[in-house]
Amino acid sequence: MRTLITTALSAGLLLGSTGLASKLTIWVIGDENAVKTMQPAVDLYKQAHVGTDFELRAIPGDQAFTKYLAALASQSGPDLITGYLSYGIELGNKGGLVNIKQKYPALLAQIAKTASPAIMKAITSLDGSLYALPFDQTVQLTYYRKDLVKSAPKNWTELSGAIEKLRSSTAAGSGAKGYISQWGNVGWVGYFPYLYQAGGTLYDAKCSKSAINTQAGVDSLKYYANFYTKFKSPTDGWPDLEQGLENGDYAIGSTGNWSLQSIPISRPKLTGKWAVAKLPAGPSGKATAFAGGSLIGITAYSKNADLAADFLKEMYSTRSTVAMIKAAAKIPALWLPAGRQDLATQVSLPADQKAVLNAQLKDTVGPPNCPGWEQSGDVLQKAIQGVVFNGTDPKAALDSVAETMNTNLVKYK
Amino acid sequence: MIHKTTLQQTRTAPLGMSAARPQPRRGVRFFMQKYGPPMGLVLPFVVLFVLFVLWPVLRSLYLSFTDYTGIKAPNLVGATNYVNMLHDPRFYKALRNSLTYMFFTSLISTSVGLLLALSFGGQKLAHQLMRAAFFLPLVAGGVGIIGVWKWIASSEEFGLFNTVRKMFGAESIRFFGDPHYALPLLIVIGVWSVLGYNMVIFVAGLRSIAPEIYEAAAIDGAGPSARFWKITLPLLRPTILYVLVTGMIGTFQEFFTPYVLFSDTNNVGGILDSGLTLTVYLYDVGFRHFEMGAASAIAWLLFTVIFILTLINLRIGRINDLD
Repeated sequence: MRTLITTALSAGLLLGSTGLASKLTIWVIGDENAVKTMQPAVDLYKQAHVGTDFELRAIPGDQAFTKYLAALASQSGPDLITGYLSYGIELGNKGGLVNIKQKYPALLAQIAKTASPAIMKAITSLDGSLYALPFDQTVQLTYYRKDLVKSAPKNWTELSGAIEKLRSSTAAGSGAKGYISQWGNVGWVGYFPYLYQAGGTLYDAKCSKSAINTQAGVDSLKYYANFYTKFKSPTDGWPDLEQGLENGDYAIGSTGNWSLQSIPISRPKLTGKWAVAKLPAGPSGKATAFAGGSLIGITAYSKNADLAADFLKEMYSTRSTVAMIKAAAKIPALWLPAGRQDLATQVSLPADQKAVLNAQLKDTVGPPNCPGWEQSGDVLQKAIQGVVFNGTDPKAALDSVAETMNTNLVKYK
Repeated sequence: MIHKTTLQQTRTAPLGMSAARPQPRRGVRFFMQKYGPPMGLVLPFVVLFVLFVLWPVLRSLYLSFTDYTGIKAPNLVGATNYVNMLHDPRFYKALRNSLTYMFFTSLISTSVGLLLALSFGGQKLAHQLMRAAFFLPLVAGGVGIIGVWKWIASSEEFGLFNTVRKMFGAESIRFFGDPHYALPLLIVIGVWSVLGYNMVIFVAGLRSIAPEIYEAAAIDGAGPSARFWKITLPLLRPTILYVLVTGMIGTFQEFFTPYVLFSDTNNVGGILDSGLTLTVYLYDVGFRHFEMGAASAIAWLLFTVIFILTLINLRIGRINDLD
């Protein structure tokens, strides 16, 4: 009898442990559409690995911080998580994510060949550690009304000229309110492309000190602040660019690539009236845009890390990535694979828009990977707002930001 | 207590046994017989209280002196978190905003709540309907209702308030695009959400005042104004104190309204932190920057401020009682 019980218990434990090892839990930031986008990769993996089970769960963006932190603190929950670009270094440095460079160098070598260089740089620690891989990306683009503006402004001078001309008009629906910025409005994400277009950077190349208070930084901030102080662009956190273009209040604006997909569906009145272009080039001749997006990492406590890494290998394969792009298109959504930027051409868009998108993707910079940036971003945000709303001198504002950035470089090293 | 027990034991000690010898077994039995049942009844509460209130509170006090990130084991860092917090300009901005929000929301909601209770405290159907109408925000509260306010105040075409303004040819007001509107908007929503509750509490307080007092005062020639200032207000003092104290604590701890109204992926607190309150600041430090030790320090400072304010309130109430 005793032998029977022991055998039954051992068999149960063995079965239990086998079952545990073949189940992957993935938390995807976003809504159910984010789950639908990843589902084809899961399905393809399951076909090739019979018996492997998956649990895919959508985590709303505003709950991600609390849920991820609770999972990491209790060391239970997902094996894989997607998150904002800052999550990799932030969570990885604190021991929450597996160092992929150290544990899965072959996987990293595979992804590094095809991933967006801007995103890769943004998520790689200064010491070379990589705690997550690029998942998807978003990029800023210029949207404009073809019937109200002859052509997209190619540089800062043309953009200012176009806005001034538009604002001199009084007729309703003629774009008389000028320019509208949506993503990162009156904040560091909005200012970021202008800084790089002017030839500036947030930090020096080695992350040894802040470089924001250089002449390029000051000039770009003066230019950026003009949108709000001189041209009276809307200052809300997230102005409705698509509506502004549709009703003709605004004729030019800037936001992320998502509007390429949503305008044709939700703004039928704009059919044939709108176009997209790269951001205008600054004094340096560059038309750099900010690259955002998300990453995917393996939790440090995961008992299925090897399985998770194997799944990631499949997820970055051509067949899975293309299947994910197509699944997103059915939602419909525009999903740009950051780990397979070479496949961004597979997105379903008109040829002219696709050409612009791919050209802009080649001219992007991600958020800095320097220590303390997460803590300094808020200070830069407030400094920009101080210049716009309180008339603070741009040079003085950026000097103060640089001081904080330098302090945080040391503090969070 | 010990003395009494010993005497009792002495009286009941069997012959041949030393009366002075301690008898713990019988003492425990006696104690359990006397206090066992009530202790058993309160035990579930005590266990739950210790587990889910006392332990987390004490743990957060400990964490406030550590570098806890929520992931790695905490290390003691002394008072660093408190020192850093007191050197952070965002903390002072959040404290100032919280105090302003608390002061105006409590003051307006208490005074208007009392006014409403005086106006609609009767048993008429119209009064009951009005009370129900003012109480509705509490029933329909939550994040959803804040979303409705966001829609009302939106500066886009679909924003209700600005649509009405546009009908009269006025320009849109950018409630979320101008730092000057952040606190007034928060106060309006705060007052709106607690007004009905305060009114109901005041109605209950007003009904507890014996009508004979008013009748006697009227016979003595006291007019409505004198009756209000000399009878209603003094007798309502405990109710006013309760409404004020609970209101101040509630408004100081308000999180969802400022968070939902003014946060986005890159920032909490809105333009120039105009909508940043202490609870949102705490959330930002703890959950966005993963500095749970520092967030615990903020939580303890929040507790200290609320504790001091409550003491001041109670003290004022007591002084008035003595008068």
